[in-house]
Amino acid sequence: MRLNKSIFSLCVIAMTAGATPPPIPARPQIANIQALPDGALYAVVNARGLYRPAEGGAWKQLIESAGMGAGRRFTPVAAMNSSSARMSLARYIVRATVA
Amino acid sequence: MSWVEEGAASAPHEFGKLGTGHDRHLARTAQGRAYLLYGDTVFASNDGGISWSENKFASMPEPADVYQQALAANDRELFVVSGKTLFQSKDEGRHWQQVEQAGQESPVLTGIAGRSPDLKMAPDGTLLALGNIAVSQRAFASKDGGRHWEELRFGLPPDAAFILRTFGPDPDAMYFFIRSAPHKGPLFRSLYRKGVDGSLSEMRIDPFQGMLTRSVNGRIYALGFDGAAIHESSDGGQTWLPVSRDAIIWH
Repeated sequence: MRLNKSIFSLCVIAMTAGATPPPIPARPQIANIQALPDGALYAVVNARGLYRPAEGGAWKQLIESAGMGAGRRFTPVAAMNSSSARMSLARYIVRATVA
Repeated sequence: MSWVEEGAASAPHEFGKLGTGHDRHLARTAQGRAYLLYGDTVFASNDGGISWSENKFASMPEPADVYQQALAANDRELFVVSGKTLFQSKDEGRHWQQVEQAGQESPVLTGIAGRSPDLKMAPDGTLLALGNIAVSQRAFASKDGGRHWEELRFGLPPDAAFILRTFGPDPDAMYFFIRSAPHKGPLFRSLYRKGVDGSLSEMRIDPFQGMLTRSVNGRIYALGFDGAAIHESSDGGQTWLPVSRDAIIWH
């Protein structure tokens, strides 16, 4: 997955303005985060997939990156009665895949 | 929680022609609509990008230069600026009306910093016209559908040169990245948040944040500029704690 365009734009500004560019992370980057109306935080981790932080500092992988890379949309079944949550996350994945 | 697949999303071919500048031409709404502007055509999707329809402008009074265009949308209306002309649609892009400008100082007519403005929808539905983020950004707001404009400072310190950003298709706040003095230290020196209630507060966090999002229980999450760490705040951004990612197996 490519780096989020907005982050990319700010990187370009930072570098062209003479600021120190961000260090290359030693582990996969988190490309995007979104808090949904069900109260949960979701994170897309480059080359890994979609994660949700769980109790005790653990992270649960919800979708593998291989399943997201083809531009497929997914609905969290537990949030089906919340159209806002469903559509937000769907568009979020679309954004990540069409970029 | 389990997941079901809905379909395969794609983007119109024209999306690829826009390169990295597509943020000005792409808009998404809280209810799942997506719009893409390219030249005299607005592509629209009501299913998050699985299928797209095309709607051409019946008349665009000047040659459409994609680099002098921008699109903003919410679930009530769409706006397109093309050169020095502003258009509005209230039926998902099927029909468009030109918005007459009330004064010659309109940012639509004058441009901002030598370029047609970028358009954004503020969380309260106000239409924003924004200047280039590569220079000290100016921001104008219209509460009457783009006819009258007022330059705003949003209550920021008088000397603060800022970059205004919103995040996600249903933003709950505007964020202001405050630039450092030229040639003095890091690019940004502070970060402010202005919520829908109008309150402005300084975030007590490193301003190099690439994304910020707020949950219904009031927690604010910030993703670092380098994608390495997430922090969360439960007191409006005054104190922050890292969200552990140690439980992911990294290869």
